[in-house]
Amino acid sequence: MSAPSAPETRSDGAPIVLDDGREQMVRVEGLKKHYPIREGVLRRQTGAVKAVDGISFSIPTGETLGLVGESGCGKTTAGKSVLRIREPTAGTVEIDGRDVTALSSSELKSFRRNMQMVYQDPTSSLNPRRKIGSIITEPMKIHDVGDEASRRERAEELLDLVGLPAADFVDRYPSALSGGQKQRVGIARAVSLNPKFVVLDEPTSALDVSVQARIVDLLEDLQDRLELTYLFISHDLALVRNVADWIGIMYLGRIVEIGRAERVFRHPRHPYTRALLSAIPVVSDEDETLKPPEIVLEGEIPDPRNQPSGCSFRTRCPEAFDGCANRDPPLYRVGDQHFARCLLHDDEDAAAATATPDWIHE
Amino acid sequence: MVDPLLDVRNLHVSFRTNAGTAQVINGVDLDIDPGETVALVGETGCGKSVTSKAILGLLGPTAVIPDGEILFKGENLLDLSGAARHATRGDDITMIMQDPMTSLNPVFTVGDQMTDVLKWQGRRRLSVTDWVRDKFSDDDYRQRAVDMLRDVQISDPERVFDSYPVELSGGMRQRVLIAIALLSEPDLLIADEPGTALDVTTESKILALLDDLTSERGTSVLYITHDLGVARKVSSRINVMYAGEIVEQAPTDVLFDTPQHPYTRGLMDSIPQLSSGIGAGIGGEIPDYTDPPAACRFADRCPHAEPTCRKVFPYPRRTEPDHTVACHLYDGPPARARFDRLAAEGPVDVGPPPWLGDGEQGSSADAVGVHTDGEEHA
Repeated sequence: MSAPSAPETRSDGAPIVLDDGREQMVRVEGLKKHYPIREGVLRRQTGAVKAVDGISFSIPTGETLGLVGESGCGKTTAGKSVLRIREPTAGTVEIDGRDVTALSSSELKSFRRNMQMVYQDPTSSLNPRRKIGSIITEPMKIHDVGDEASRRERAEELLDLVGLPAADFVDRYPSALSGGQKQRVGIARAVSLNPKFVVLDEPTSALDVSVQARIVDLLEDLQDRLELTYLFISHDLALVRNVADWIGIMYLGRIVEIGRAERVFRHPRHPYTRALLSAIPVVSDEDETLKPPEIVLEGEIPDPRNQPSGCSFRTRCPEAFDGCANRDPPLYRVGDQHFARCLLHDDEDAAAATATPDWIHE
Repeated sequence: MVDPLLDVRNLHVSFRTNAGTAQVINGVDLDIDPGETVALVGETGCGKSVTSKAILGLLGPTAVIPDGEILFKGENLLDLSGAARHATRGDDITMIMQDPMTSLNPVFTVGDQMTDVLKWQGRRRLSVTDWVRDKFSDDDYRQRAVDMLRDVQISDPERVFDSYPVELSGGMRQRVLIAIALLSEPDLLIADEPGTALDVTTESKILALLDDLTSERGTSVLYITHDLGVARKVSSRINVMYAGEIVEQAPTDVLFDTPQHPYTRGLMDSIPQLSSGIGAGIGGEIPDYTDPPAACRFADRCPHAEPTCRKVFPYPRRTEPDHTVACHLYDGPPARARFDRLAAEGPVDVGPPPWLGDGEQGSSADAVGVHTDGEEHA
């Protein structure tokens, strides 16, 4: 393992391009989504919940970025802001070379066929009163693709593609399907318009592991066949380790570490990433050796309306030192296409820390 | 050998539904020794919560228990009157529910809900003298509750005692629920997925806390979870449940070294691992309980199923002194006397497990070798 080269700091909003030189399907720069807090009779804005607070990343075409964090960290809001399902407060999102944030609403509507979403809860994301065939053809209807007969044919083709025999399923209602089958329908609907980019928001967290494994297999198969680029949002690090090429760790609306998946797992450079990795319940002794020894995080995630000064993780960080309260760390370059937001990587600040842990440069 | 604290024998539970009788629990045997933590692992709809509710007597009016015994300290709970069972619940046997957001009553303070346990524990109804005594014991009850909140590592127990649940985070509420469940010093605690609704860092703290508190007090725990990784962390023995039956039972380390039942193996293979990737999962769906398969309930999803698996019931057999598996792929004496007659009809020959070499019957070392040589995750 070579020592990281001279730290190259990236201030918020500066582009983080993963795998420079390759074609990028998605480029996100300084994306913010703030929800105003209004108080008093005049409903004056007195503050903001910074659900997503300046995140930047890119995803090379045909690859998967896993966005990981605990509940409330803003990962779902980030996914929705990227697709403009939620209107971003600031920042730009470029998908397939088009600046999505600059599109007018009619342009956005027709551009949506390129970017789709698969939702977490397969039950509430399918209309219970419509048949499977009609659910899958809906996006084609909206975008005026084909006629009734060709759409039906396409729906049957899509059902076969996601592993549901079309003849059995096309005329059934969602309530007659199991969780895994419903999620297959959700996936068929998402790919019905041949999108280039799909946001997968915890697509398997409502499913059993034996079903999850099959859905993951399907998603990987579709990625190969249809050349899809994925943003895979999840709280399950072990799962993301297996599906993502790149991984971004979020805490309180910001990316605290980002890089190649196997590198982040093998050489985590942010104390939060280490704590998350250490808490994964594993099922083999071999896996036990692949994660850091258990780190217990004190306290709870701070109120996003009232964030701590300096580094937002410092209130729970086992490595925090005095400097952490004074300065909000930028993303430091900690290795080849690997960035971490922690002052331990700043030579000046880290000198003030009582002890720099071994893992920070190992 | 000590007598088990809880000994569930041949438990059957059915539910009356519009589609007919659903035979959900089909002959479950489960025992827990004093002070032991035993896990019951299975996926959605396998009957693990039904089993725990049967133990507590909380099954509801559509449930029928046609057969079986639930011996707690040698006494069959199913023979007790409703009032006598009521007195057991919350006193000798307590439970932590899965969802910390809905398990607390939102209109009472944490303190009210805690002192209720102390007022009601072991009582069938409150008499006037009880009421008077409670009035004099209020301070004492408060003190015990606050001490317990401190034991579950709540930093400001006096404030939390007077708080409403809505003022607390999910992790705090789960701590309160653990405090409530341990307040009456139960002999058996049933923990139904206590970490599932929590984030992974909070979950690992709660698991460690629960482990400390119960081993300190010598409380037995029946730990219900869908997550084999969690079961590995907390329990000394694991029961794997599929479609209302316990298909495999072994000490935790043995189960992870030499999983035998094809379902257990499929489940382990499905878990995303850091080292070896993610397996293929298990195809098919859990069977319809109103019309379950006659013999092996897993046969329709089993990659190794033979025609006989659909005809002859695979009674649980002992492959090692403390390892039982309900599968024709293994030979061994029946785990329970009630299967002797079935076993006497002769073994069903479906050959040895295909993942083992010829003639080997899964001695620990051999099977470890097979399991880690990569064939499984290829």
